[in-house]
Amino acid sequence: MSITTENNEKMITLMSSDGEEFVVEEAVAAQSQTIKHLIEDGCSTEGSIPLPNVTGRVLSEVIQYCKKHSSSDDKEEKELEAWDAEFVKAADDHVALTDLMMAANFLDIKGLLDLVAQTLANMITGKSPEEVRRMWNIKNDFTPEEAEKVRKENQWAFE
Amino acid sequence: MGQNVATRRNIESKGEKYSPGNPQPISLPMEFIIEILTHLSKEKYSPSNSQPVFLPMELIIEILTRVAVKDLLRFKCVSKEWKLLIGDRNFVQKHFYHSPCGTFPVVKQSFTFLHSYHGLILEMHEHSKEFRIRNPAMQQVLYIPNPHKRNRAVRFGFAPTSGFYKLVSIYDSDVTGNGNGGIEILVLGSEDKPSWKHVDFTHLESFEKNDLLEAWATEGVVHIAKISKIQSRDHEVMSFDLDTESFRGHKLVPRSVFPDGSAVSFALGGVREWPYLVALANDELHVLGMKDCLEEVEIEEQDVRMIGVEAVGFGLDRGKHAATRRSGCLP
Repeated sequence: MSITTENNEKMITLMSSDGEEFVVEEAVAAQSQTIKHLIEDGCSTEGSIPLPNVTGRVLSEVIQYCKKHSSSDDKEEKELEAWDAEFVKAADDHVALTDLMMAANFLDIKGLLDLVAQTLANMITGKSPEEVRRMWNIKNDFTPEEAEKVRKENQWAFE
Repeated sequence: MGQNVATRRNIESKGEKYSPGNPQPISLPMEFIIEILTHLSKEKYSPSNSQPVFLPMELIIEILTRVAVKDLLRFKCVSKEWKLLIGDRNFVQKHFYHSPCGTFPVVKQSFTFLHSYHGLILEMHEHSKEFRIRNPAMQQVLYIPNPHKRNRAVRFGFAPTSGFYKLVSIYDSDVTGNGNGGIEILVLGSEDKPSWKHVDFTHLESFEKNDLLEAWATEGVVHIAKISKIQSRDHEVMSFDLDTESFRGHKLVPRSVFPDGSAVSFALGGVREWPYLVALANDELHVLGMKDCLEEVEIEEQDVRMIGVEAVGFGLDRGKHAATRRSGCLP
């Protein structure tokens, strides 16, 4: 079963891990290399592709990005850049961005992965090691002596 | 929400009946189990808040390769895994291509810039002629044992197979004729005290005092141009393989390419990204393309007329070999 729109665009259904369904044009979904390969391999014969790693909330954001980037080939690059900046600003905290990055990685959407990675890189710039640990729940496995040694070796980076 | 609290209370009151001395498992009514499970899954899929999240290593790499060096050095303290990652050569390479250009303070010391590769700078002291390699991003300096005293060109490159940086020094023959010119090599990082070792060089003519030498290092190869001042001799270009530490390519260059044996420089560019030898002579720009010499030195001669000789430097346009004026000197 495949649905087509009035413009004869082939539509496919993406199903999130929490059971939400999104009907999108195939060209939009194919921005994701993972989905593109699934379509090519005939995994969407029913017109629906399950995405067990992506929640509905994240998937709707991803689809927003893909829609914008599939429809704006001839638009000015500057406008797209401004849109990207607004897009990551909307997902402003690092948890939402991390979720988005995990999805971009799983779905293999290079542009989105680059965008979110750069946003997170900007976010951790100037932060202390402790702040970074807290962001991603990283355990400090240095002994106090080891920590002091690494710190001393890179003293100027703390100034 | 109110229901959740009530449910929890129910569970707790059940739990009160459980005593350590009586290790019988308690059984939860099905509706409680369902309530707990839905609560768990709700939490898992709840909209994001400031809760910490787990980030897999491949994504950490994506982020950290976009962070400035100073931040990276500080983040070595985050955990042992991060420290290992930030020091890893593959990571460093990836970071090199991703990261924005940084600016670093110029160190006002009596060192002259000789050569730069992979973000490292080779310098020589103006008076003592001491050599050192500086990493401006990491603010590290490594002093190099003195090469042969008649050294004419010292360069360094990276040997991809062995994973070491190597320095190559080319030295002249003695003016009195008691000693040939030659090449020596020094491997960085393989031992505590690196030392220069001589490279067998017998199948090539040694370097003469009158030869003009220019060398250029690219990935795995050091290209050397020997421009002879003696009119009857051809020039030579040769390529030294940093992994095998031997010569892999050697070719004579017709005298007509650089007729008066004037100064040549190496430049990288052109459509093929080869190193090019360029020389300015008699108002003409002579350009010689060198293919990666692991196979063979391939010579392409291009003469480009240049208008005005006052240009002090020039760059090679992609594919056009056109000379464009630029301030400053060739690298």
